[in-house]
Amino acid sequence: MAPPLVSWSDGLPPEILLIVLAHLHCLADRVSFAAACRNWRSTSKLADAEADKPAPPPPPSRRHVPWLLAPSPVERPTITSLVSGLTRRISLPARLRGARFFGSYPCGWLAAVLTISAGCLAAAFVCGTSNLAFCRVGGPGKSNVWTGMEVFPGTIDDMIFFEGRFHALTTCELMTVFSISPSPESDLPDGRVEICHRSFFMPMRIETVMPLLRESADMSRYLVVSRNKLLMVVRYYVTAATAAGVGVGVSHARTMLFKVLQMEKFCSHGGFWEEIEDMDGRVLFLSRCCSRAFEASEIHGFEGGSIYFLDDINFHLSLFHSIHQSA
Amino acid sequence: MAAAAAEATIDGGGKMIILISADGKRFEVTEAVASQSQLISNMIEDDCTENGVRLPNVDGDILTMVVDYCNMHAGDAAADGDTTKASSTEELKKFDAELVQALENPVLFKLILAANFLNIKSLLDMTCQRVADMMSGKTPEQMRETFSIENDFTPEEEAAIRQENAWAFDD
Repeated sequence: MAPPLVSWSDGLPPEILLIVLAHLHCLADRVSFAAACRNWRSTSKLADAEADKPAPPPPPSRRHVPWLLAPSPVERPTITSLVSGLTRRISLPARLRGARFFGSYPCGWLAAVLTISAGCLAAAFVCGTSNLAFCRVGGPGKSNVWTGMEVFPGTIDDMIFFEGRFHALTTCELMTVFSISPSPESDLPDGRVEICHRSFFMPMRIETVMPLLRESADMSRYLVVSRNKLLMVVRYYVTAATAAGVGVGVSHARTMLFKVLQMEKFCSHGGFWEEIEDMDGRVLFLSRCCSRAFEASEIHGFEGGSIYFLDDINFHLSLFHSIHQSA
Repeated sequence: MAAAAAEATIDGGGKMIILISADGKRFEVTEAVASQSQLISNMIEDDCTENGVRLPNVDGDILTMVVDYCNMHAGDAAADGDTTKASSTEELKKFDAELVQALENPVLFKLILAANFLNIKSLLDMTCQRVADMMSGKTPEQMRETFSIENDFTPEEEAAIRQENAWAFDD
């Protein structure tokens, strides 16, 4: 039998396969590519060898976008590739089952904690009279004592570690900043950490929001650090139940409006939100407690001025909204 | 010199040249359009396009697409000045997207080879991007299925590959 006229496995010269591979930005896709057939495998090895050469460094646009690691109750975490928009379950070695996952980083790194180095600070949302708890994770031999804190009024919308302090924001626009001494010597005798906290209201200027929308839509707030500044993104959304024209059983939220504000500090204490009109070149990926900001010039395949809300039940790349500044 | 070049662009790229496909189809294009192919651009410089350019490994149907693409993108090269001929960026994006979306697998394959042979970087890049998009989010099995690839690993090799990147294999 004559060989097929079109053979993707050995009909393409390696230099073309290398171009294809250069367009595969998700590490999992590259692994699949290398596992498809012998010829693709050797191409992949060739590309890796090129990448390992010390000079010249890859241009910033070649950097891989990290995966989104979803907080997940199952013992195998899921990652979402922001490049392909797909969620994959990933397999981990047995000894990593039950480990605490902290996040993912560019080039396929996943941070997991098995034995925690002493001195690491942790914060958690909890249920009960306290709604936050903090702990200095002591490592082996030291039991971890959590210190409960209460933030009132409102429930906590988001929390972030910024400039060495935990910042928690409530639905009532109360910002609470928690400082915990970096040295364990200052801890209380029972092992609890000593926490200083200051709260201040940071209301958005009311005239910036259409009154009707404020009444009819739900809102959520996200905190994210970008260019060394703390940003708050406020998203007004309606869920499928209230949105006309959305299919029954579709549970994703529809964003009606969002605002991006930047925290400006008063020199003494507290701060205020200044609305950002132009997202110039930034890409935000937002999800409670794990939001990340990037410069579009540093990552591949994303346009500056885009915001991705990742906490919709199903993540679709179509659910993004852009701010295009006309000025 | 600059003025002469601009004039040539306005009247459609000056001289016409004939491209001849493997199956003998003839395409008449301007030099400006044809020289998006680095191969043909070199031939123009060397003055060997007089009797038409034979392209023995590009079929007529593929060459039709290539010529369409080059006609559409001729404005890119003629950077400054005359914008009446150049297609708008939006139009180009739409044209490119429709072109690659519509391609059947074997046609895409042949178009990649043609873009490589003719050395049209933007077309090669775009078609390779399309292949990468088709691979995105797929397991090795699904990739083989999409591109009709035979699994030529021995069971031992396959086990070793899975071992090496165990995290990526959902089983």
